[in-house]
Amino acid sequence: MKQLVLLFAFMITLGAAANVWSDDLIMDKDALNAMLAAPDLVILDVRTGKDWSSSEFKIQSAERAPAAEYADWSASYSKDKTLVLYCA
Amino acid sequence: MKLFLYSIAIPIGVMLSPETLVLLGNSAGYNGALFFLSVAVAAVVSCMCAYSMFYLGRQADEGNELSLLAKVLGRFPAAALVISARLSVTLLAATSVLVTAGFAFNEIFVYWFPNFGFAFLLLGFILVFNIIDKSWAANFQLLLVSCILLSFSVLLIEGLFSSPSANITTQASELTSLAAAPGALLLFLGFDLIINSQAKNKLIPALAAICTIFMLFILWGAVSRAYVPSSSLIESSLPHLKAARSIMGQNGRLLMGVVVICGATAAVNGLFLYMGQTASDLAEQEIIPRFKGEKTLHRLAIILLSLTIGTLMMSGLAGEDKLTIYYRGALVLWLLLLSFRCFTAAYLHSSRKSFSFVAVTTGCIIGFLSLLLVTAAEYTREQLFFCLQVYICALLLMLIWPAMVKLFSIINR
Repeated sequence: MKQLVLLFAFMITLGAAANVWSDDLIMDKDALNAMLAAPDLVILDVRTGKDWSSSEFKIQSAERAPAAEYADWSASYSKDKTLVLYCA
Repeated sequence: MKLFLYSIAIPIGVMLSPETLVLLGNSAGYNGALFFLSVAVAAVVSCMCAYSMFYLGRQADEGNELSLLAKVLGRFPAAALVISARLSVTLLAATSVLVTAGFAFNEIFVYWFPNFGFAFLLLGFILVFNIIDKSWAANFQLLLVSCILLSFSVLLIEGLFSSPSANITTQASELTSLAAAPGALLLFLGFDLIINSQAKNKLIPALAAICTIFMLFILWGAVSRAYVPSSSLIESSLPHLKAARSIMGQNGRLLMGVVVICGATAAVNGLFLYMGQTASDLAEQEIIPRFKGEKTLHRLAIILLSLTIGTLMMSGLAGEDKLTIYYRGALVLWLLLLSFRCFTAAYLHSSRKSFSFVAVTTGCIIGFLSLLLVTAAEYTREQLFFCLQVYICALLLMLIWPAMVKLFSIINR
């Protein structure tokens, strides 16, 4: 029983930590809109295939960076830049 | 008249799929005269192909697509060719266009509705109509095609009788235009999907479908060129939506949304109806069992297709670039099937009557253009590999399937 309670507590802690972590990493469109003028901002459209071609909504200044090729393009951006990735 | 409308609803629905609209819009951006010329030539070649298949072929033999091909190629190679071409197009086109329809619904009509959810909802609708009865699916097809033609007509009338706000003048290079010209043949793929067995002459519905689509595409191409700069048409992944918005603003966008959603549904429903017919043809050739009659076979085929398409969508294939490569490969297989059908018609005709110059020429033209499409493509090796892989798999399946059926029947006994 004790082990079960401990496991449950651990799961809750892990879930909460993941939530806090993801909140920090995910932004909504208003937040992005507010920082559009920032010089260090790089918007990366990671959509590929139909997810990209069937969508009418594409941010004009966004660069295309396929998610599958992350290893290729991730090193080409300096660490002082703010990278915003958006997907389908 | 009703029978005629049912007969042309499937080819028109397939020819007006969102994939074709993208190809049409991109092609319209190329050099003006060459665009109209290539579409006209593609329409003539399609008419010649329909004449070879449905007139010369029928004159020599009254059989179905599979039985005619089997007489020349042999039962299993013919079945493998039909299956590889039809099945690969159905599975890949459905995965592609349903996802496109999902995006159109989400971005044009209801923002909160998940695009994937809508794609599955459409697949479910098509499945239900086909399971209830084939006639329900045929009526649904007619309704969808009417919606597409009506929406397109409104956009065309508005586009033709009002003038664009800005003077649009940009021209693509002659070389790029020439390279894109063979692709015009893909615009008319679908004219051969005439299934109504009661319609004695399939040639007239096929020609009617080609002529309707030709008029529509020429007018839409001209209107698109008048309202959207050529470079923008070539580069856009949704040129039809761009043109519609330029013509009628938000209302144009809504109308094109209807065209895209109905076009995707009509394309999938039309391909499903034809695949049901192909399953019957395979049963007639005793390659697959008859199960409990034609209706059960149709239902079973549609359920299997829907499950496979659902799995492909869930696997995220639509979000990968390779879907376009595979889809192009499947279209090449379709063109090769048409080419073989022309040669078959010529062979059967010559053995009974006289040598058919039209059928041989059409077979050669389509065969040559399909090879040109593969070699001119960006991913030639991948496309060729895909075509070969699909054909070999279909051939193996066709060879193993009867043995499996026999084995199951022994076990069941």
